[in-house]
Amino acid sequence: MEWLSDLAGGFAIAVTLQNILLCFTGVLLGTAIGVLPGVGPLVTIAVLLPLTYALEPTSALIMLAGIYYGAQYGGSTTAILVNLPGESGSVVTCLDGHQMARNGRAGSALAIAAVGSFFAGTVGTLMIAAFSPYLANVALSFRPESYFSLMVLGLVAAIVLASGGLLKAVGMVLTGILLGTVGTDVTTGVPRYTFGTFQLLDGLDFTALAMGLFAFGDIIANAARKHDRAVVQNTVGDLWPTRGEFREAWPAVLRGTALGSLLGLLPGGGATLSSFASYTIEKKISSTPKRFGKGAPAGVAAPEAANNAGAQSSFIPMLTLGIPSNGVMAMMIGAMMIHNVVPGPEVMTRNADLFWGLVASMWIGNLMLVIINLPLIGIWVRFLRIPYAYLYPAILVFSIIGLYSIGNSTLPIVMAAGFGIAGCLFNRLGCEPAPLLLGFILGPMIEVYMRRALLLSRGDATIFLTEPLSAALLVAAALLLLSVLSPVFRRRREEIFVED
Amino acid sequence: MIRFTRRAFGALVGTTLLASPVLAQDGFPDRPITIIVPYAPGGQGDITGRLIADHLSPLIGQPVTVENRPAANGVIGISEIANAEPDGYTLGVVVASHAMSRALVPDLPYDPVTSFTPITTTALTEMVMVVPPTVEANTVEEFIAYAKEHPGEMAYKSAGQGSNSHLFSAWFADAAGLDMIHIPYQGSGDSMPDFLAGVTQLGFDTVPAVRGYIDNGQLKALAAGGPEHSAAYPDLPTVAEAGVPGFAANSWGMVVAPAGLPEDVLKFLNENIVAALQEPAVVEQFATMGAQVVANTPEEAKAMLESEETKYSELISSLGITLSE
Repeated sequence: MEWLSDLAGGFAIAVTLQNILLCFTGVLLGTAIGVLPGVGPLVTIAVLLPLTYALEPTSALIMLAGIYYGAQYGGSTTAILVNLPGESGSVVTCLDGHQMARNGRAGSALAIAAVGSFFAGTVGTLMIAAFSPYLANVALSFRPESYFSLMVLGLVAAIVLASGGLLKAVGMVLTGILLGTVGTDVTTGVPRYTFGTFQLLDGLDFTALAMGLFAFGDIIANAARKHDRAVVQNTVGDLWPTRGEFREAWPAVLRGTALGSLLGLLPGGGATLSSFASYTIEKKISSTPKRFGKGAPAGVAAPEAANNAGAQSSFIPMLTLGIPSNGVMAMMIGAMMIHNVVPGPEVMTRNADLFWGLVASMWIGNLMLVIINLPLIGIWVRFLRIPYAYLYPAILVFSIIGLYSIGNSTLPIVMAAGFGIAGCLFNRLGCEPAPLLLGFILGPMIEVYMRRALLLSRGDATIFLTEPLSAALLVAAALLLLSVLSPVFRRRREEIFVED
Repeated sequence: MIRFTRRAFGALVGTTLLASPVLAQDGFPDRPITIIVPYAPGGQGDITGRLIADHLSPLIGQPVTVENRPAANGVIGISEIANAEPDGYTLGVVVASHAMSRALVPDLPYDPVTSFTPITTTALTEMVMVVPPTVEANTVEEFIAYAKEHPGEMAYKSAGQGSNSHLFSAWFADAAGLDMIHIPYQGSGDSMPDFLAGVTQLGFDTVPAVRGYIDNGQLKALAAGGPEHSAAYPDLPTVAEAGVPGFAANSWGMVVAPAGLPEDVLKFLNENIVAALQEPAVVEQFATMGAQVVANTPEEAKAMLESEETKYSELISSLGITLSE
């Protein structure tokens, strides 16, 4: 039970004035962008990356993490009141949440969503604290060949379990891997794709890539789209659920939390997958499945608890193994690398303050979110009326200032503009840019581990299959790939993501 | 490279002493001075630059600011120093890798020696030869014997291809006639999990990077890099004493200006930077990084840069280390 005292130490770090303020800023921003459809956590984190250069890594991650789980709370507000998913994790909340609002139970739906999320967030935080030290310890004994196989499994699973078209995801991952090869080769020191310039020796700038693809690309694509300003339900009503609603909601919260915590651990998992899966399960086990889609409290409680639990537990593979399971986690790893924190099991020991401070801040952030979201709901409703015509240029200007500040140079701005055009193109083609980011982060790591393993084995490639752990991981990756090709699975996959 | 938290900066700023400014001849300096640090914030070059900036400013009565230009192993920032006006208002901090750049980097846009006016050597950082506990050796002699019993099975680790830790291990293995391969990592921290697990079996690291592991028995220190004995582990022999004559593994920092700095400005800057380096708070700060303040004359700094450059260039070519195919 050593983790309990470590967690207490984490609270000491998280409650410093600076960290509390940054945590608050993060969750506040997260709620805001969660409420707004068309601005997601990926965009926001990308835009704020340069701002964190001046911060300590712990404080930077506390704020960035707050944006991610804060968005899970904010997203439900829009889903319930406007019937638009503010966030991909709250797509299914629209189904019953908005129906409850139409039945005059908007306040109750909001309260169920917020309190359910808080409960799930608390469990998720405890889970990170309890399991991470154990997992990191196991990972520390991994040899380079096992690490290589683990990363391959992570990448394969991220593609298979992610939403959207499989072939497109593979294409985007490969593009990301190729972009990741730019710069100095770690193993030999040879410059690759630098065109003889010194500017590209350190590789493509992560911030410029993230900002271009997510912020610029999304903004251009969104600006081109017509926005239907849906009518906001003005009457929020009583925030207290009725006794019947409460009785229906709480077991659903428990199930959603359990499912979300597990699915968040999987590569490709996280908030979105968890919410879809838990809604499907609730509907299946309910004695009155017909009520789903017509305002069933369980249909709000379960996916809302699941998306927040999933958002929290997806930090576990990122913090302990250095493996990003989704786009936001890839962004967090990028932020860590900017601050010279090498992601991996060593973070737990070498940057123990960072780990425990971040975990403790998550619980504090979740507590803040309940307060931010319930009594202040009126503000967020008004927030929905901000015209995008003002919002988008503001984001662009802020982004460009940030890009310039990276190295007092205009090169990152030019790079981001180029990636912005690419991002817009991807958007038009229906290609999710998140897998590209995963490839960009994981690709170079996979290469380094593979070549390191081959150097150590003096060029003997069978090492990946003779080392038992590595072999097991590779077999798992192969099975996962095979399962995608089976028609049964493909149908199930389409069913789960039918709303996407 | 030594990592250092930003919190330490706060402590440093807090301890900055306010002293009455010494006025220079010819009115130098009459405006702020910029120190270009061509390395990332938090590394040893960066901390050196900030320590000097904080302690030099009150001595000369002008603000001294630090600008980080971390890219391409310092090449971009260093070429900015080389191309600046040699008027004393643009200075730079370089570390030992600068003396290896000519031998490693093709088409270097400056000459690592003649493009600069060395002002003073800031500090020498001691390095130690470390091995994981799985290696059955407690002295350098035992290590050499052990490695000779396991030819082609052992590997040394480094902070990257062409880094000084790569050079030192390659030098050691070559001088002792050992058949070992090189595994490059991305910095000393990245190399640690494999090293602690015994996947790699030899490394040269700065004392602060490995002190914690040595003190709790996760690594064994076999020798000081030299040429001097280690301040942290005074009982350790140097590698040279233990059987590899002429071996010296250390790292250093140097304040430089562009070539052609006027004599009187050079003298003024040297005197004041030396005074800043010798302040007890600065000496103590370097000591926590495992470094000893040198603060020598411009002539000594110049001689050191030249001899280090020659030494490294010869070593790099004789060991066959390259950054190209």
